[in-house]
Amino acid sequence: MKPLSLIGALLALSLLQACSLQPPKPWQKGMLARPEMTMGGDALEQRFDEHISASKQAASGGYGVGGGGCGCN
Amino acid sequence: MQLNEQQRLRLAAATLSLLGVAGVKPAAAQEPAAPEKPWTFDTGLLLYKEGNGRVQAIEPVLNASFNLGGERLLSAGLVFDSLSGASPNGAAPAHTAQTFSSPSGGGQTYTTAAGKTPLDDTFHDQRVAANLGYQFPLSHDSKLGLGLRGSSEYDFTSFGANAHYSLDLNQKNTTLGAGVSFEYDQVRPVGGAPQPLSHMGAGGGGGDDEEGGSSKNKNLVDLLLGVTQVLDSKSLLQLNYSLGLSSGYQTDPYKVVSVVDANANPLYYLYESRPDKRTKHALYAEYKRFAFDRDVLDFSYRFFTDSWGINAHTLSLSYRWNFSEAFHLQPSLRFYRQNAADFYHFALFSGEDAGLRYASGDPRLGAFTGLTGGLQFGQQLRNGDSWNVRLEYYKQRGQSSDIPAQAAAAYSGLPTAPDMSAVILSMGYRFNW
Repeated sequence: MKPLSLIGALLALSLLQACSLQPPKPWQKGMLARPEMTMGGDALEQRFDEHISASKQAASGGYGVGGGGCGCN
Repeated sequence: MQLNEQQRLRLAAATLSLLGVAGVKPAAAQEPAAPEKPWTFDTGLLLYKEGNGRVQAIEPVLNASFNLGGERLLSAGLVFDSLSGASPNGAAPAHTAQTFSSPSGGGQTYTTAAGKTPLDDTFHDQRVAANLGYQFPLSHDSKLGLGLRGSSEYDFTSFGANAHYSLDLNQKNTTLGAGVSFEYDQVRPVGGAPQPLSHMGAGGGGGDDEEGGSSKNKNLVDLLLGVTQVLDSKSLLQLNYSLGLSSGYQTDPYKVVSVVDANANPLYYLYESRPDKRTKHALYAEYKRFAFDRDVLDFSYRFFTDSWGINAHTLSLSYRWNFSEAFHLQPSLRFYRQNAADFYHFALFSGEDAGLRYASGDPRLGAFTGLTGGLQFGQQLRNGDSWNVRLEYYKQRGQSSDIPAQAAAAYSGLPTAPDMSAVILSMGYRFNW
C-alpha cells in the first residue's frame, strides 16, 4: 500500500495548492495552452498505448470513453 | 530565446481572449476560429513484437479532422491491424509434450514440447476499424462531442457510439467533463463457440456446435466523470472516475484450463468459462507541469477494481525535454500490477472441476507486473508540421498463483510464472492542409 499513500499525499498536496493559490488570469495561461500540455498527451500515442494495454492487461478505463472494440488474443 | 517564446505565447493568449475567441482552455490548445488550413492529418504506424516468436502486430493509422470554424470540428479515422504469432492458450506446462486441437478444427492439432508454456501458434488476424466524430460548442462555456465507430475481424465485429460533454467554470480554470459510450460486440468463434467447461476434443474442433457459425455477443456501457483544474500558470490536475458495465459472452472461446493429477500430468483440458456480467471501476489522476519554462512533466496514477476480483495499479511518468525550439526527447516509464481474477486457475486438480461455474487459465487474468520504458524523439517543423518516433520495451513478470496444492511439488521446475517481453516502435506525422 506504500505507493497508494504516496499518491494520496501527492494528490492532497496538489489540492491544497489549488485551494491556497489564486487561479491565474487568462493572459497568464499561455504555457498551459501549449499542445504538449494537453491532458493524456498525444492522441495517437494514447490510442496505441490503450490498444496494447487493453490486449495484454485486465484493467481499462479512467482516461476517456469510446475506446476498445477488439477481440484481442 | 526562452523568454521571447514565453512572452509571445502570453501575448497570443491575451490577444485571443481580448478578441473573445478563446479564453484559454485548461486542457487543450486553441486554434483560431477560421484557420487557413482547415484539415489536420494525423498519420501513424505501430510495430509491436513480442519475444520468443509470440504475437507481432503492424498497425497503420490515419486520422483526419476538418475545422469548420466556430470551434466545430469534424473528424474521421481509419486503422488497420495485422497480427500473427503465438498466444498462450491457458493450459499449464507439463513434464511431457502436450497436443491440443486447433480452433480451426478438422482434426488439426498443435503440440507443445515438455516443460514449455502451451502456445497456440495458429493465431493470425486482420482487423479494420473506423471512427467518425463531431465536436461543437453548446454555449460559450460548454461543448459536446459525438462519435461513432466500428471494427471488424474475421471472427469479431464491434460497433460503438459515444458522447462527451464538457463545461468550463471559474473563468475557465475548472473544466467538468461527462462521457458515455455504448458498445455492441459479436464474436463468431472459428469452429463454433464451445460449451463453457466442456472437454476440449482430442483433435476435434470447438465443442457442441463444431460446424461453426454460432455467434455470441456482449454489450458494454461506459460512464466517465471528470474534473480538470488549473492549479497555477504552469500546472494542471485532472481527476476522473469511470464505470464500465458489460454483459453477455465474455469468455475467450480459444482458451482452455488444464485438469491435472498430483504429478502435474494433464488428464484433460476444459474450455474456459467467465461470468456474463462484469462491473469495472477506475479512478484516474493526472498531474501535468510546465517545468523550467521549457519542459513538461506528466505524472498519472490509475486504480482499477472489478467484480471479477481484479485490482490493478497503473503508474506513469514522463518528462518531455524540449532541448531546443524544435526538438524534444521524452523518456517515459509505466508500471502496472494486477492480481488474479477470482476464477483464475493456473490448473485445476482432478475432481476440482466438478460443480465449478467459472474457470480460466488465461494468463491475462493471472497475477503479474509489467514495466514499460520508452524514449520518444520529436521535431516541430517551421511549417507547423510535426513528427515523432518512440521506442519502448515492455517486460511482464508473472507471479505464480492459484497452483493446485496437491500438484505444487510437481510443478517446481516448470514455468509457472512465465515472463513476456515486447518491443514497441511507434511513429507519427501530423500536418495541416
